[in-house]
Amino acid sequence: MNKFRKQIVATILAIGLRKNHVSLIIGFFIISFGFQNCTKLDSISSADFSSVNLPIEHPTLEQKTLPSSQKLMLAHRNYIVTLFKDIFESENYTIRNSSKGSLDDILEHWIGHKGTQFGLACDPYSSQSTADCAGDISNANGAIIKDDGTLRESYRLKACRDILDSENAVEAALEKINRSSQIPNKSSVIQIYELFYRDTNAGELTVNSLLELDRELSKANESVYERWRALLLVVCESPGWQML
Amino acid sequence: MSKKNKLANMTRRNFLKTSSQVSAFAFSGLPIHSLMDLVTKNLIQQARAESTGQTGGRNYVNLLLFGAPARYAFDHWQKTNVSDPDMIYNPMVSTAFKSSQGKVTDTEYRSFLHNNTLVPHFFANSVQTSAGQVALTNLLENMLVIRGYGTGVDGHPLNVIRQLSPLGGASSISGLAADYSSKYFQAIQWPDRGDTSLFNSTAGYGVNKIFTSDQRPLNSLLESFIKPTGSATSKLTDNNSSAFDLAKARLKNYIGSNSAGSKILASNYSNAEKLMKAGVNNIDGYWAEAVSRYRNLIESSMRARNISGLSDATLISTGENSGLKFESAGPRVLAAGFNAIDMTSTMSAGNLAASFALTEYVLKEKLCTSVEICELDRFYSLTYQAVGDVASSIMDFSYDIHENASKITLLKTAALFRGVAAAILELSTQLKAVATTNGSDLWSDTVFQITSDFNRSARTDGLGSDHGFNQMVTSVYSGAIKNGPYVVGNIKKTGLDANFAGTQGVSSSINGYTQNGMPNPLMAASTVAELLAVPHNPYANSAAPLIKVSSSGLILPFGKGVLKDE
Repeated sequence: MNKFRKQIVATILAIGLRKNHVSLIIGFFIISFGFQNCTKLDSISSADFSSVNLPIEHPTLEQKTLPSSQKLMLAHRNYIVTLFKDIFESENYTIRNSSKGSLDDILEHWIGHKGTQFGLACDPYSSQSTADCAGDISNANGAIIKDDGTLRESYRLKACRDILDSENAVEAALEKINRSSQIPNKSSVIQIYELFYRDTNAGELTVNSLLELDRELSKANESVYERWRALLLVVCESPGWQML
Repeated sequence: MSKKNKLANMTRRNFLKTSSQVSAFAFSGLPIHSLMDLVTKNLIQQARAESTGQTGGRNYVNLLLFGAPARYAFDHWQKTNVSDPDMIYNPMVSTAFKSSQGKVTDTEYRSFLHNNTLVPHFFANSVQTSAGQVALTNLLENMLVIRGYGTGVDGHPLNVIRQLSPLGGASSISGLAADYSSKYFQAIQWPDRGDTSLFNSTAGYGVNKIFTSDQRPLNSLLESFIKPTGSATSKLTDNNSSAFDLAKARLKNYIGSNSAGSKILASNYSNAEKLMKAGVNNIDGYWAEAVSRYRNLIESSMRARNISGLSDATLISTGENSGLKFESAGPRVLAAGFNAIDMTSTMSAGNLAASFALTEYVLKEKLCTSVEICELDRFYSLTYQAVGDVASSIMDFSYDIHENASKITLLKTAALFRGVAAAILELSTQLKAVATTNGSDLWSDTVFQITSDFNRSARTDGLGSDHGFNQMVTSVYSGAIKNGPYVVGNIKKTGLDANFAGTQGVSSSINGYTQNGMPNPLMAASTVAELLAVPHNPYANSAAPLIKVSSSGLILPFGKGVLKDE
């Protein structure tokens, strides 16, 4: 904790504020850290960096409220496949012949056939070829909901990346949002967020973070198209939308 | 609303809400977002600097031999102290063949003293490893046998689960090791154990079950971490890594809940990200070499001839009355003229080679803390010719050897465990070569446990065995166990009843122990947990561990296991 406070003090000094501002900042932190309750900054203390040992656990303003010991219910493979198809496929655009195959190929490889990680027993009777079970019925008795793991997350990230490598996927997703401008803005960022997060609204911090990513990419002279791709990628890769 | 009323309504929560709004207002025009960025960036840097080494207890490897092969020849030891009473001999618990003029004549319980413990004849031999022939007594030095416990109820999966996840509400043993892991994968499992698995981690981790339709679990585990090159998303993220890192860290923090589960989700996401960035290379090169190495040494050990007392004499069947009964869709007998020793001449490693290669890789590369491997109910590729067969065949046989007579049981299980022992010795050699930051080596930071559903109850007539859920055993290996072997847990001299007579490891009570009568599997789990050296042993209140680890060896608070004259 001392180290954390030193960091804050050093930061304050580094940004060279006037004396009265420093007083306000100190006041802010006393309020923020002095009470065991909800403040905006406390969202940082719920970060998952196992090396960071912050003393107080707080919910954030943008959080769902769950008991601290409750295990998460995560979306199963069909939910994720359906969600991805919904986002990355349209009448005009779909992935057909990318280096990774079609959208269905990618989703089958990283999600649909990973019932061991994503849950939902496969159905050996769904087709004559038992395609749902990938020719192996060992997952036919699998659980609907599975625990999370590094492997599951890696498969999900790979799916996001393989899909968004395709310009057709980017185009399909952009068709689903109402763009008031050719470049990303607050409204379009919120819509991108809500493509994935079906039951939550984008909080201000989230929207600002995405807009700042866009500004950074703009400064780095990335094309507008790549900036859209980046926004879709970051939201796609964020883990929260799997939570049921 | 008057000022007084406002104050009266000012709950602590409202106060904080108002205060933070005031603070936020005071900050308007100030770079609060930048300040938060710096805090978040600092967290990112700390996360990057996070060691992938162990912060909790030791690594844990569980080898499950599902189906319950008999363990008498290998690790279910009977008379282990010179002072123990003599056994009542039952041929099903034999450890060696008696022979005369190169022909097997009978079986016996043969043992020898090693470090003041009587151990089965099995360990008087050697096995092949990549370092050449290695005496099996080397394995004894790092070996602990935990026997003398049971559940009193039948059922294959049930008894596996009762041993590995012995206390409702607490972590399973492999979950316990995972609870304190700071590695990319807290726990992995291959092959999928199905309904024999009840992984539980009170820290909220799940086991990463590896699914593969071939024998390449490492490839399946790591295929998503092979670094992509030249793709649109990889170029974009590589060229703007700081901006992406910051945005991802913020999203991870801002979106979600405060539950332990969501932290695990975020942690797994971070681990996946980090490992994808680091990339994994040359898996194929390692895999081909390692699987071949383990397969060769396992199979050469299984198939070895001229093993003293186990395969150095012929065992020729005389047909129906030879007593060489085995099970293949019901009881059968080896055909007249068939040499039973030839059964193991084609025996193969099954999943064992890939299991050990996987284990070696994930431990050496510090990818994982808890590893669950298993062999599902098969002696692979045994040659046989039964009465009525016109020629010999090669077939896989179940571990659940109800109708296997004593000689066949000894032959099959000694061969199986020679292969297992060779693989453990090879793994230990590999892990000993890896120094750890605490001045020790990886083998000393690893606990390897062999579990099966139960040992087998030995039929009095020596012609078969059944489910020994009152006579369980597990053995554990680690560089942290020095000057072994050690035996804990007490057994009775007598068998179960007239149908299962003779000494066969039936569990007995321990004087002054925390459990009354026959200890249940919590006793074994608590003892293994002690070896894991995790900060908290969740089983200890219900069942005290039977060992304490010291630098010179194990301390046995309840004494050495004894054969009781009961």
